[in-house]
Amino acid sequence: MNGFVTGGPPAFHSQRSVTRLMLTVELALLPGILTLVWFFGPGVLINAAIAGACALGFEAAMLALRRRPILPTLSDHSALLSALLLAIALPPHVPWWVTVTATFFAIVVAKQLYGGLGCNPFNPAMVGYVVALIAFPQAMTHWVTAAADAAPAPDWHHALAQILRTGATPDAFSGATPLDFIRTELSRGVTLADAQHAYAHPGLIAAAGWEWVNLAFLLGGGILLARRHIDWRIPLGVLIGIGAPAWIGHLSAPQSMASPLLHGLSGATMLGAFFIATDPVSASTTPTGRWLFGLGVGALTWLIRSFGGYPDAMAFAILLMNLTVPLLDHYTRPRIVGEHIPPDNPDAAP
Amino acid sequence: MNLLTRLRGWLPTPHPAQRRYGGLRLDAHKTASNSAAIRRCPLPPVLSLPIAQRDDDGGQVIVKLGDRVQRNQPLTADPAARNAIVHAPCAGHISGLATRPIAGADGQPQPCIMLTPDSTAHDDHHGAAVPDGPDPLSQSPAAIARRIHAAGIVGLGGALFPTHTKLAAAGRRSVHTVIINGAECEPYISCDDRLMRERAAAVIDGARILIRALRADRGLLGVEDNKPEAFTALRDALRHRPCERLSLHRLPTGYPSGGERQIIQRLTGLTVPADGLPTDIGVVCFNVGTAAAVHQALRQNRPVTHRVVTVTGNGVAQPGNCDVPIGTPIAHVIAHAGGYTAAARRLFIGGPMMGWLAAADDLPITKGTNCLLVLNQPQPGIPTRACIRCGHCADVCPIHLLPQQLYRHVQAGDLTQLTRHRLHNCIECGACAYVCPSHIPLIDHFRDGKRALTQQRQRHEQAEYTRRRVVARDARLAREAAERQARLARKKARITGAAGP
Repeated sequence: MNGFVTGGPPAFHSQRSVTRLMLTVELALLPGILTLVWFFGPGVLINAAIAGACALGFEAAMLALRRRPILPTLSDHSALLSALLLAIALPPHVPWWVTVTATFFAIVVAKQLYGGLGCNPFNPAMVGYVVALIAFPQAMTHWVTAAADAAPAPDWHHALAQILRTGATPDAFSGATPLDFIRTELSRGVTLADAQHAYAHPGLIAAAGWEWVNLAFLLGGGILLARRHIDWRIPLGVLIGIGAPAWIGHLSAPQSMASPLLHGLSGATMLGAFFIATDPVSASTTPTGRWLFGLGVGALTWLIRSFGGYPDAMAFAILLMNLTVPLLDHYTRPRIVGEHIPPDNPDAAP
Repeated sequence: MNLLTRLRGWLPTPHPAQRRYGGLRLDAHKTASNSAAIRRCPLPPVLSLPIAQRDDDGGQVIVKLGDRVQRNQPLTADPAARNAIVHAPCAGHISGLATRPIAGADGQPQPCIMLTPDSTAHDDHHGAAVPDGPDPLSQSPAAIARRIHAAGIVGLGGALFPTHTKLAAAGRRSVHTVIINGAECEPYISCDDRLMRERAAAVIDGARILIRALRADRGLLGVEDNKPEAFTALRDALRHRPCERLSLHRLPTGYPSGGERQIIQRLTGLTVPADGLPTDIGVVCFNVGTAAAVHQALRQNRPVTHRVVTVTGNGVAQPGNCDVPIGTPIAHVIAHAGGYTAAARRLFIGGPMMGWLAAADDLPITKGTNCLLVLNQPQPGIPTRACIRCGHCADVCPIHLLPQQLYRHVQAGDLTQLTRHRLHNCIECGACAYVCPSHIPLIDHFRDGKRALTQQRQRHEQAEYTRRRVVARDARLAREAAERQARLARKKARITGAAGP
């Protein structure tokens, strides 16, 4: 008998696929997204729809320009995942053009111009976010105040009106994020305890809503860890990188330095640690490199939050650490089994 | 999902060398073939005996076309004792000498001796033993090695390295431990499992002889814990004829725990130098099939003319294990196993992880062909995508390489980085390609990279050779010129001296 199917070894496969990985990450984001909707209204969903549609459109256009197969590439879900992360990072009531601009920079500039999936040195979602943060500082610093018993979250109608800028009325839900508020208060010389107390929506630990959002992203991250879709070193490194200096700082200056718990449950900490810093393409790929990458992201986040010019810093920290990845990968290659033992045989291979 | 997709490195049993081993847990797929006893495969109309079983030069053919040969008669000679001798599996006559693809050496054509069995010849290799020769346990290591060479024994796990050269190389060093490898970690294959169950005494005795041949302090026989019947059979055989130097060990099931370096690490806790050999740390490793062949050769005077081959997969009607004469065409073996099913599409020579896919089934079995796996339609083709650097490949690499980086450097043709990342140490177990979510054929790329490294080394050697010759020539020319100058000067001095006042 002739004509058997041939091919390279091994002809066996675990049936894992990039598409499945990306889909799992998207699903693991769901608890966080639902919590965001609960506390801050449906703005994040509208942003996700805008960003997702734009991302697919931009990706398809760039693939066409680059003469690459379009549908097989779109089906890998990487553009959708970037768009989803971007939409989560943006304020819920940000004007639509900010989302479109950010998605453009994420997909076209940060990803496709560098060669598409697998070739981008910087995290696309974070590039888009930082471009928006620098280009539209006014729109980007206005978050939505968290829902409480007395004040429900904004509804669809209100969110749409704010995002599409159809109504001329100012956003009644607009407010500073707790990290932003505390930062401003601290710079005025108010003590940390007073600042936290003065925040209109104090929560149990950090601030109303935010602590639950962070816990929800922690839950999603736990799912990814349990399914071994992400490496545990990076998120743990990020949390230690933020927590350790915050702990020392808080012990030495409790009136002016935020505690590790406040840092951990505020802003983008959990989202960044489990979903953004763990983007395999732009993170380090060696075991030691991943530790250093995570610790660097965490430490930079803490530094910028505590002493820098921005209330949150996860995006900057991740982009800065993306810069170091080639260096980290080069110097942290793991020793292979038996590499440290010199061969005893004079005629062994060099 | 037809295969276990869990990535987790398995938990090793309590052992001095506890550490992260990498590797995979795979579905064994062994029950289809390991439940029935080893069958005897009848002789085919013509045997094609490869002179060189692996890609070496082989021995010298000492038979001519038309010669009549007896069973177990050597067909090649090897005075330099570098290769393995080939013997006739049955009585018959030499009907041809030809170069043709074989089941070893990735299907590369090799010179073969065609042997047509006599019509009266029957495959009586399991007939009465012919006790002959002295007790090997009272012989010197050199004498044992000579007899092993004469029996044409090679590494029957698939490496095909001549056993006597291994003994000779190891004999020059001090060897304290002999490993007998009964792990058989690759899915589907069960020939060693059946061999250990049915010929446990032969395995134990062969191991004893090999320990003696190396004057080793101890022998460790490792069996994966998914073969309890084989383990029990070996334990009973060892109880029946105790040997205080030989001990039995269960290995945690996992792929590739049966790799030479991997099983040494799991059994002894010692690590083989990455750029060295097991003998560097005083260890030598043999397959259980090799041990059984040593017993057969030295106790029953029977050379290696047959081997146990697993014939399995959903493309075969009656999966099982066969005792197959070396040189039998694959088609004949498959026909003996009930033939193909209608949906058979892929023929693996060897296992699914490290074997290769043959296009045709007329290739003869070699001493290293441990498995013929026939499977239906390939798994639905998931397209190859870009590497996303997820690093799962590095998590499962049993020697802790970084396949994702190697792949990048192979694509870039960066030989310096390939050397730095130790591509040459890759054992091609295929664990990385198995888990790759982008379905990148990593092993193909790594073989390309290794080829490029070899070519580069050859170019360097050639350049160095040329350079040395040029330098030597320049030195010779300079020396000759100086000598000529000196001669002229002496002559001039003589003339001027003679002509002087």
